[in-house]
Amino acid sequence: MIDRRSFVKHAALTAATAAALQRATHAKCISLNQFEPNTGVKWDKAPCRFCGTGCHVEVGVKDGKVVAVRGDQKAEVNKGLLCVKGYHVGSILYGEDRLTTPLLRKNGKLVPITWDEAIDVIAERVETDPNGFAIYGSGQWTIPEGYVCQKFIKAGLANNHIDPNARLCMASAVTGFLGTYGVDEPASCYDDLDECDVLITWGNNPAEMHPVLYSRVLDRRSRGDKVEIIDIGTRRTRTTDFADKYINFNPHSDLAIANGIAHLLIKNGTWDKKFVEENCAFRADPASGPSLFGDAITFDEYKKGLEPYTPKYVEEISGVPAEDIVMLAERFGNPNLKITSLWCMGMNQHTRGTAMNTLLHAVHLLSGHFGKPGDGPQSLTGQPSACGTVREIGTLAHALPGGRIVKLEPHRTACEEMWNLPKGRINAKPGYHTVKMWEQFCKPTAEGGDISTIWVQVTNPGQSLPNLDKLFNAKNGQKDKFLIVSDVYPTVTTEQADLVLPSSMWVEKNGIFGNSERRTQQWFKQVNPPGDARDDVWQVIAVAKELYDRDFAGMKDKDGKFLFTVLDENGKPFPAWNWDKYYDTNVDKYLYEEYRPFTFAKKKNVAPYDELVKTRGLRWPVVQQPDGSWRETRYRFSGFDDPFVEEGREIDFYNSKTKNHRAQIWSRPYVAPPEVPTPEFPLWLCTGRVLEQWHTGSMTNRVEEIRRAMPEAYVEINKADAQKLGIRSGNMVTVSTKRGDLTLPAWIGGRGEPPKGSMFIPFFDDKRLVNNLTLDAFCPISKQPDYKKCAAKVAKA
Amino acid sequence: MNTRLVFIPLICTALVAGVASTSVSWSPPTASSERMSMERLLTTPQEADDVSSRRFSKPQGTRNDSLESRMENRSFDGAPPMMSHAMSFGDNKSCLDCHGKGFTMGKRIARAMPHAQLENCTQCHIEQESDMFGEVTVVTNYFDGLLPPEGGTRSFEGAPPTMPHGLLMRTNCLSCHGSTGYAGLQTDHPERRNCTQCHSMATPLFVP
Repeated sequence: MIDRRSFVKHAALTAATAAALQRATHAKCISLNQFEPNTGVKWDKAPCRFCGTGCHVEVGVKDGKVVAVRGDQKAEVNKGLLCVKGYHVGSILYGEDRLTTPLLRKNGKLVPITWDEAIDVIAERVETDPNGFAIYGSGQWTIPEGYVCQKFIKAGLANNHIDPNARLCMASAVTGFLGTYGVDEPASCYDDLDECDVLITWGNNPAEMHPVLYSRVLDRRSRGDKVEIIDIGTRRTRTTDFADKYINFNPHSDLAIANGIAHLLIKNGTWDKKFVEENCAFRADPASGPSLFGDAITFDEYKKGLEPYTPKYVEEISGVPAEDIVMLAERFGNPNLKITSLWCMGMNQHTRGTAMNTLLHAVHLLSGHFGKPGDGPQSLTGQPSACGTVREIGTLAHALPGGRIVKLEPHRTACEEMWNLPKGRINAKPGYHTVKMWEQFCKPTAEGGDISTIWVQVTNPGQSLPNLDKLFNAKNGQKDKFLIVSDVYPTVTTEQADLVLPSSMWVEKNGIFGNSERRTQQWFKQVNPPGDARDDVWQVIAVAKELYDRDFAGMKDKDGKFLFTVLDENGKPFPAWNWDKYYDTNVDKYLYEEYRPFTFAKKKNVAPYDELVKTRGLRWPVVQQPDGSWRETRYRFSGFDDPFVEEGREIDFYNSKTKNHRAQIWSRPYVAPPEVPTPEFPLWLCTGRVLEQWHTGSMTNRVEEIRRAMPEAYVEINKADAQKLGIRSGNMVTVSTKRGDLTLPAWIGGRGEPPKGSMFIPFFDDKRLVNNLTLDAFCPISKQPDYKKCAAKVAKA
Repeated sequence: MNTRLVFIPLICTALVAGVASTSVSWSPPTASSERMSMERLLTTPQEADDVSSRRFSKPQGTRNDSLESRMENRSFDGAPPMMSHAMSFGDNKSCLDCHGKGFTMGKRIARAMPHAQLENCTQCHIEQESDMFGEVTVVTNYFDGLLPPEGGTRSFEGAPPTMPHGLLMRTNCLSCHGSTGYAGLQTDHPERRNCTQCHSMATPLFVP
């Protein structure tokens, strides 16, 4: 392996030498004004391919290849800074094993086929069983990619079976926003990080997962600002290293902590009475069980619900000393402090994720820490377009573009009109959410498993789904089930696929992402994809066109025209299904502009494409000013900034579910987790990410620098537990849960430190799949599974 | 007399003349690529230590040697260098003990960070080789990173050379050009701190 590698490196350097010599000769005859030290490098902007932070990079391209990346100083998000993944994002295009040709499984083996054959195969699967054909997508879909898939399923097949990996990632944040504000996505933005006096990280490790954002706060300190960082978590991390205060809580008991803070705010009279009276109402789940919108309750009922949560009681449940609860309540009770809360997977991957999200909003609303720069809750996402694509286009089993849902007749009608569909085309019944979709796919047809084909795009469910044996591996050997995977590298998912389609990635195609702070970001194609890899948008349109040609009714609008008709710059129909001509017009721009009007209904107005081209992204709602310019919104619902706020109001929750400008403060009790340690499985097991590797590692593992620094999964064990079991750092150990076993090295006193009685395993390693161990229980409202806690045991292997 | 008054005309002359006269061209680091692979094969602490000593020996050698060794621990010119030593986890702040102002101990040199103080060092700087794991197999990657630029240009013998690189994350010039910097790149007048007074940038920094 190493010989080969060093040979390749050598070859590359030899080529570089020639280029360097050429440069040396060339440099002498150019004038200083034109002098570029690395002549021939063309720089252009793009958002980073990885997390939801949405940093912008400048991409250096030379001789048709990406050769360098630098932080974009014009980008407000990162102001020229990047993290190690961002600096190496260029290398992800050039792994030796890129998929370059469509592959079909014949006699158990994947063999190359042509694109025409591949498109035919998919069209046949649709024709055979249109109701059993599902798309499983991603928060890494660009906006146009998510949009064509959404239209393909909701308007074309009308079975609503489309769901994304974002269900595993931020579904609980969505239901938290919906339940509280009546509309999804954060009201505040990253500017909070430059203004806050107190930063609270709730089960969140931004030092590794959103480093650029965390550094925005940390670097203020080195410039002399005073910022207090309070880390509330279940494991000491690199975020804890920088925190002024670490508060460790028993897994799942964050609900009790939030209720404890609210209890003291009421008891001490430090809640913001004016803010609440003017802008809030109270809400609770009905007796029938957890509900997205719940029932109205009175303030007295709300108060009564909080009564049990004395600091002492909260200490009993959470293990957090009562004085720390008092300290937190004092912070929130101080109207002069500006408090920003950050959270990500800790609160979202939680069987009471929706409840915990609404309780955090409740603490901010009750204390009036909302709607001012530096003062408010800011949810983080793990994928670059979980917000822009999944949440805004609604590529979820129950949703339609622009914050609409399939259940509501007026919403369906609006979409049918905008897509020019016959009345009644869109199905009112929600499709299968992620866990259900894979369950129905893995379940034999004879036993009611009614999903026969899943087309996976831009994600790796064979590694990232929980309880893999049940939700993924069980498909194996079922002849009537068919798995299609569009991806850029071989993964554990493509290993089981029946049809593999090679995709273009990142700057090999045009794209648009939407980050965690409502910022829509556009980039242009800068290099060619390898071999016969093609854009995901093209793949979907090509299949749709094949179906249209076969007279499949769903691919026609009410006038019999092709559903995915694209017009060129001159307004003439453009053959977007013809790959040779695909880049003759900007298909991305056409699709984005077709989608843009959908965003107006809930006042999520995204910016026109041409404005995105000019900027490093704009935060919606983006509204045109009298002088013709376009203005973004930093603070939604705040009178000083949001153009949609009613004249004269300081705060206006104009999407309020109760239609009275009010946000909902939820009363939700602590409920025990579904699985807790037992004598047989005495330890908590938490899973998550690490700085270097991104999610399932299918891209970052191809980057040598990253792979050498963080090559494989390990289990972090607390020193005391390890000592008791005779385990030393580096020993191979076997971690087991009711669902499976995994053997891997132990790391004691490592990067993170789980408290006594708990362990941590990262999920990036495709050779050591921790999701064979995780629980598939999910939040009853958001349907998001809990990867953060299950009962496990460990022993020397 | 203010030195600035002397040099501004020189820079102007350089801009007008626009002639590259004494630039040293960058030659290929072929030998070093083999050495790098060799080093990565070494596993015993003793051998590893030998390698480290070599890598950290006092600045000597030519500019090209320095640029070669500089490219050993970064993916392209402009990428953050990786740590060529193990790090003690849970202690981000200790990096500054050595890399804050630059530090020499025996043959070892810890270069000062070239950028303003940024707190979360490990955000960008990762270990070149994790000491936690054994042999690592890597997938071949054809990324061919940007090489360092040629030297700056002078309009005439004795004129101050232009800067061949941008200043993004490179605001402390002495990190590379100071006494703990790189052989062949070191300035002979470290007492003069206002570098950009005489050395103008020869590169367009921003994408329009």
